[in-house]
Amino acid sequence: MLNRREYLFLYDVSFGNPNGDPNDENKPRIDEETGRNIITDVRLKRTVRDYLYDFKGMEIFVREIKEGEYVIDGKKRASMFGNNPENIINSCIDIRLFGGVIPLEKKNNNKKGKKEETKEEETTEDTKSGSIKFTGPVQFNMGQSLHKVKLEYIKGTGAFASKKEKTTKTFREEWILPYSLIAFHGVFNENASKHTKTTEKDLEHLREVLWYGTKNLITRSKMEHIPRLLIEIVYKPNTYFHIGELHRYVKIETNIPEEHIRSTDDFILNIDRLIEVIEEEKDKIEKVNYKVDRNLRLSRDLKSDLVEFQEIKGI
Amino acid sequence: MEVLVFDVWGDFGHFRKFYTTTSPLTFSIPPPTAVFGIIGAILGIDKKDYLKIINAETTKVAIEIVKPVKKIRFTINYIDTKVSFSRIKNRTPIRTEFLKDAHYRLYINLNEENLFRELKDRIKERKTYYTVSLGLANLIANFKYIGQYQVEPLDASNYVNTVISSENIENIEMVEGKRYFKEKMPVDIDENRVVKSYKDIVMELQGKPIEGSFKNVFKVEDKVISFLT
Repeated sequence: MLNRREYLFLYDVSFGNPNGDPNDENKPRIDEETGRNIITDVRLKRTVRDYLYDFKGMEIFVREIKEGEYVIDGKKRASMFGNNPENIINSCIDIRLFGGVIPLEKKNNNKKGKKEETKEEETTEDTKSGSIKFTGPVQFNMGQSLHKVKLEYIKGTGAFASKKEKTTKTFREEWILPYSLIAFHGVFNENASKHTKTTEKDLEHLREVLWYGTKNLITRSKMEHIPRLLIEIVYKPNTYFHIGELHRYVKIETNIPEEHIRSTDDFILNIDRLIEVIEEEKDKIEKVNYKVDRNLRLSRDLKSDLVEFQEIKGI
Repeated sequence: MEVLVFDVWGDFGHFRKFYTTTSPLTFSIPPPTAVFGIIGAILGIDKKDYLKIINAETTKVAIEIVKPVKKIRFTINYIDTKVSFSRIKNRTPIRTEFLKDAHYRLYINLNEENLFRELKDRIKERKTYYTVSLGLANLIANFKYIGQYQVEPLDASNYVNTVISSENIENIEMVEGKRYFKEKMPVDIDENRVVKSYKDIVMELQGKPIEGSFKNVFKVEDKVISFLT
């Protein structure tokens, strides 16, 4: 039985687009009302998945596999594991962490000419869709910047002409944010993890990959992503408890307008309230693991007389 | 009868409307069927089983809007894993509507006393078996105990603080500055998640009381509530 854990993860981006909306000119998602930038949890999970696969050589279920010019679909992917959910869970760390929908060929559907050889799955199968759904024990909320951001529209030149037989090169236009410090809150639920057989080791990978996966995003729009703070609260066994909304306990302190912030030099991150809340719940907490980037200035040290704080080493 | 009163809130929520397909829209409040799921998650009854125990027959649910209902839309870029053609394009951008800064107060009674007590204890100590969320697993929610109160039936009331089913409305007095809204939503589903009944639910989107004349209403401390189940 694993312990419940709770995460606060902060990273920032300079002159990039941390998460564009494909139906909105690929503009960074902005909450018009608060002026804050929103990043979907899907983006963060993608970062984790890509790093697990590309850099750590671990198998993930949700990845693009090309067959000619097309990408294979989920059913084909499931068939690579013999349509056996058990196999998929054992092989793919992303399913153990984030869950997923595993589409399986139905045995007795009426599609013409299709001979299904898959075994009927027991209880977790959704009989209507023929898929198995695992709720991920690790969930991250949508990420949000801790301050108002400025949206900028920039033009650059592309390397190629837009059409054949044109002499001039094309222009590239894009939306970027000069700066955004983004906070994600997440929970690992030990009870949900029984269904996906998550291991202690998987959680160690997650911790490492949040940090290094973010640092190693190397597409042009996602250069300059720097992890700044990772806090992992490990709760005592059987407490059935987590604090919740950790992102609300940290605040940016600056004496310039928030949308003018351009780097970690322009603010201090106030974590006083976070430490207070952690201390209030000391009876339920086993320890707190953390990692801070040296350029992030905090209002106080990450330590406490009441709760054990341990720096994450080796990552 | 007693009700347990607690708040549930989150940065984002999504309670998908049953009639939307490719661009999911959200209800303005968690339908009672979603409240059943929240109770099931706190108590730790498996998702295959909780509807056997927590349903419209066993559970009374009234919902008050605490913060004005706000919605935001953006597109989530999923990798498509579930199309029946063997060759597909790799991404499915799904334009999705979310509730923003959603906050509700729930008035709950469970007819099974032990379960009701267990639920109260857990909410009071902020313990939860599974992670509580607002409609989708990734929209993590928080919750807080408000109290447990006696419920007094009223013959009638000229206002109501919670959302109310249209069957309990005799008439509504429209007041300037209020935003009225009606949504048809599921109030009960069976174990196979087939909806057993829908109701027209009337609400004031800023969380202000609704004036008019109402029946089947109850007094809880200084509030008048109406159960949806």
